[in-house]
Amino acid sequence: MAFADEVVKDGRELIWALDVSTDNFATTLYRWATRSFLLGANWYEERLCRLGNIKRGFAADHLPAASSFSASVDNTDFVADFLVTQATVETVTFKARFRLYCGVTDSAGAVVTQLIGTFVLLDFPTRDSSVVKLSLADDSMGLLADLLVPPNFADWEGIATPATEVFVGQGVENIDTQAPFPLQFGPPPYIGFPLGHYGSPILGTSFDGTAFVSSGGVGLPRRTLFPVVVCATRDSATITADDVSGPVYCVFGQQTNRPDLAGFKVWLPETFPNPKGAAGSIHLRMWKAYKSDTITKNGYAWKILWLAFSLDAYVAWMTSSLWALQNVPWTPSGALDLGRAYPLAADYPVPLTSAAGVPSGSWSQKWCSAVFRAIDYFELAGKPGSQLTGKANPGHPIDIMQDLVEHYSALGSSAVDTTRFARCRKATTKLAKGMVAAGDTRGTAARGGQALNTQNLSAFGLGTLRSTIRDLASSHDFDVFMTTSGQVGLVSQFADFETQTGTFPSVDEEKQAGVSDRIPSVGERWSPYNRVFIEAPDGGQLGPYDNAAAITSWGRVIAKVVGGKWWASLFDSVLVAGLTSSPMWQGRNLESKARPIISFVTDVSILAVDLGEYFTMSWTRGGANAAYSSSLWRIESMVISPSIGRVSVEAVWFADLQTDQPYLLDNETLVVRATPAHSLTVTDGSSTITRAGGSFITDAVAAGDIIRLRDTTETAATPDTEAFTRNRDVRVASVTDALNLVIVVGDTDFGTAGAHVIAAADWLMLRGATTYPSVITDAANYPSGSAFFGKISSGGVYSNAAAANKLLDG
Amino acid sequence: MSYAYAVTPALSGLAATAFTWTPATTTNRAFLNDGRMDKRFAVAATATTVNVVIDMGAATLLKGIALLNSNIASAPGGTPQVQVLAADDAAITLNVVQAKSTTNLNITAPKQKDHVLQFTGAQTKRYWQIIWSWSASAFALQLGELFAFAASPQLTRKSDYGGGESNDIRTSVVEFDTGNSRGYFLGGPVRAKRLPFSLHTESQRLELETLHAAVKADATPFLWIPSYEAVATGAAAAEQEVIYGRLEVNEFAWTEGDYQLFDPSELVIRSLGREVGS
Repeated sequence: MAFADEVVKDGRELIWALDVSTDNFATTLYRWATRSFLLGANWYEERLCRLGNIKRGFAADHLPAASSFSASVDNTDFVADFLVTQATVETVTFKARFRLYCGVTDSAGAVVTQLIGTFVLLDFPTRDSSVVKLSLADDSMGLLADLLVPPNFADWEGIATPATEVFVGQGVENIDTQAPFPLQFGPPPYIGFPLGHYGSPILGTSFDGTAFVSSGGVGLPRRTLFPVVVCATRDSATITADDVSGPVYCVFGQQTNRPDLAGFKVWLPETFPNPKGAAGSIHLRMWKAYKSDTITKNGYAWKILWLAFSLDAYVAWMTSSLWALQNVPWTPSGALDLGRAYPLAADYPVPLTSAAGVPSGSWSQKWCSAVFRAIDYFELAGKPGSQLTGKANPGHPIDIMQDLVEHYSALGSSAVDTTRFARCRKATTKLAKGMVAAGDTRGTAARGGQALNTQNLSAFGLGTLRSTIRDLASSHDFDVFMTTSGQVGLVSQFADFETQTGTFPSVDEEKQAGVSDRIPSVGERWSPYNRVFIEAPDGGQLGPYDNAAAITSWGRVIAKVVGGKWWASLFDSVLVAGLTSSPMWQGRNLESKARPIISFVTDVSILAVDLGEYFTMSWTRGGANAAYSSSLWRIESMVISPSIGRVSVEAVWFADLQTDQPYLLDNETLVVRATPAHSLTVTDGSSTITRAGGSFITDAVAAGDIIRLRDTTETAATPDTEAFTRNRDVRVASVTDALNLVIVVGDTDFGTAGAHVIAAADWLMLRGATTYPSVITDAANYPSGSAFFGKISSGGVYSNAAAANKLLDG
Repeated sequence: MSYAYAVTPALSGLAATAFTWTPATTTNRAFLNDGRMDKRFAVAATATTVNVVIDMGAATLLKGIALLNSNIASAPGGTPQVQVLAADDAAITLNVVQAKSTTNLNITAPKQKDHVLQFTGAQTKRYWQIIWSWSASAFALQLGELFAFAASPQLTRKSDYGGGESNDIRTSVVEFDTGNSRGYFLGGPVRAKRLPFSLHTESQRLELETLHAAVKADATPFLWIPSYEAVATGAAAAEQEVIYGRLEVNEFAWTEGDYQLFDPSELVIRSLGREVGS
């Protein structure tokens, strides 16, 4: 009595139902329907009088297509007034969420339902004298539109950080204290933002200065301890050795007096011998990593990962000879610059001790600012930044996606379709990296001349989460949608393990109307292309990267811009090494292929198949000339017309899904010649083997193939003269005819004298060592570039040779 | 018999606790007087008889009660019966009167779900008891609405020839290119009566206008009783007939077809909808 079973049957009663909740369905406030019915212990009340068309589909930006639908609710008895009444708008309407169900009756008249989606109010309802009109949209325009706002400097002030010490941000100037702290995802390094950057130094007067007391008991002045913020995190775990710590660098910015130093990275040790102290006796601490105490903002708990940075120690380090000995010159692009001189203390962009134009006495506010101004940003190699899921090895795009939904949106922990995430996780292999922060787009003059690195940010603003997810998904070729169960679902744009091993529902021709197909127009999803430009993290474009063979074949160039903003290698390359020359076509799921889009109308039975899922469908055009015969299709969009029970479907052709790039699977079925449907007869002492039906010739059995005998009737308890004579492999010498072949003469002991019939399920025809696939066109071969799953793969990537032996026998 | 109608539900102000069922059932009692019959109250299954005592709060005159959208036609063991008692105590022991004698309920479709029991109008009691009974095995009575009324105005003229009744089943059919089609059942059957009138005198026409005004065109659902009676004896099938629906005539108009004889608008009365599976 499942929906999928009942919806395909004729004559069923069709009902649409809407749940209304203000606490994300912990409780249900109202249950409304197009017709009253009892579901379990709950009555659905006939109150839905009109439902507009509901569109579900992918948009070109990998996100759900922005769409809404209207619903009119009978309000002649004023029950739905609460949605509009001023007094309840703030307590109910803002929080209201709606779940739409399609219901059909089973043969006993009971109603079975299928959730179509979870919706929020796109706009405020409208009330007239008889109905309340709702305009609803799914969470792609609701809770998935905006990130939770991370804490800012003002939130941080007064918070114990670390325990027992209170950070006091006195003296802060030229810093937007309301700007949210950044979120940083993916593999390190991460950017550290010195909060004393723009103007006045920040003095953490009550901060834990004792941590900076050296082994010799000499503490450095607290007044020169500055916070360097890495990111905000929802991870409540205590900071560990891996968090934030690790190599820390400062990177010089563009300086008017020393432009050649721009981009120089200087390694900053956590502690180092005091150049002025006795050898080995006193160490100075330059920085220490901290995680703040919990900061509660808008009802959500946050922490801040940050460094306490000692300007005293920094200057001591920079003015000593130690730093030059332990640093190598880096080019602005991040490579070793062996032909370049070491910038020495005298080369520092501003005088570190005293010089003309800087007040003597060193520790003036202006002097501190001048020193900081030379530093564009800090770079930290610790991990995991803001990442929670998979934080031991941060950077998997699906882990980041899960974090964004579960921890950095208001949807919460149950909002992820874990099954679909797991599928997509296996099919997505490239690392992701990105940052969401309040970009300061003011001119450098407004920021005290400081050229803050902002080009790698996903700017924090309206619809940030949606744009961040778009950047992430487009960089890693997966699609995001709201599942019929109201969760965030992902689907790989191409094959994954399940698509290679699953079976798919079919849409019969008897349930198709208005069928048409076409190749998508340039700019649409799935439009063909043979040249790509990669959207760089800074918003620019890299490329062109050509599929030369396709350009030659097509005779024209069709270009496409693909996402890359959250592609880790690109991110770091731009950050560190400038333009990359990575082979884009191999690094991404890019293809030059014309994929038709088919459109047709069917009934609500298609609702049992969700977006991004596959089905088979033929279009024989009345049997005259089949345009498609049992082809595989992937659902791109549906437009549901509730009042008439029609669904308009668009699907993209994927008939090559299981043949173009087959996956290597553990069970290694590709070397199976055929699975027999007939018994096999072996005769003791004879090298001739006879099958009862079928054909060795049709099955392409060749000399060198293996006949695998697994006679289940032969047991150890009743051994023949030698046990298991019919549980072994024999090698084919030649195929005599369809039913007979001769095995390589050797051991022809098949047990007791006479013939033995082996059941169909107990024998198999396999390729042998000499008949393994040897040419690329062999159907059983593995094309270059095939993806790997199973025991020999790790995260979809071939793991190592040690694991490869598992390929042989599962 | 003449046509009658009832607009004001006498039970609408009662709390759910005013309905005491035997066997005891409290879930969804509010459905009994919520003004709509598509949400059904269900009594715990029991054998042969079930009854409800309605506490009107004060002695109340009732001229009848409609039992709407029930499943009594499905009761096992042949023709189910119902009777109505009224008394001065909740136990129905004090000054008991039989407002309606045992009546064999009409179980022939399409009128098997709605029944009206009309009284003499002489009983003013606080406690009213409705007793359903059937033979044989256990059965769970379900009921969409109890519509009691203290007044049932009658019309002095019946409709002309040419009127009639319909049963509307709502469907949606999707047609496919192969000629195949797929049908959905959306609801029904919904009963409707079409009542043409002509050559009314002014007073007769005014009766219709009074009805139109009382129900505010299609705004207020009401009981349409095609066969008025005021007796305590058991009702025949024709006297049980009732439609709980709306008057689908927004503009009531008339023309003077002959001298001081008027042809008023045709009345269309359509039943309210029922629940899924009805």
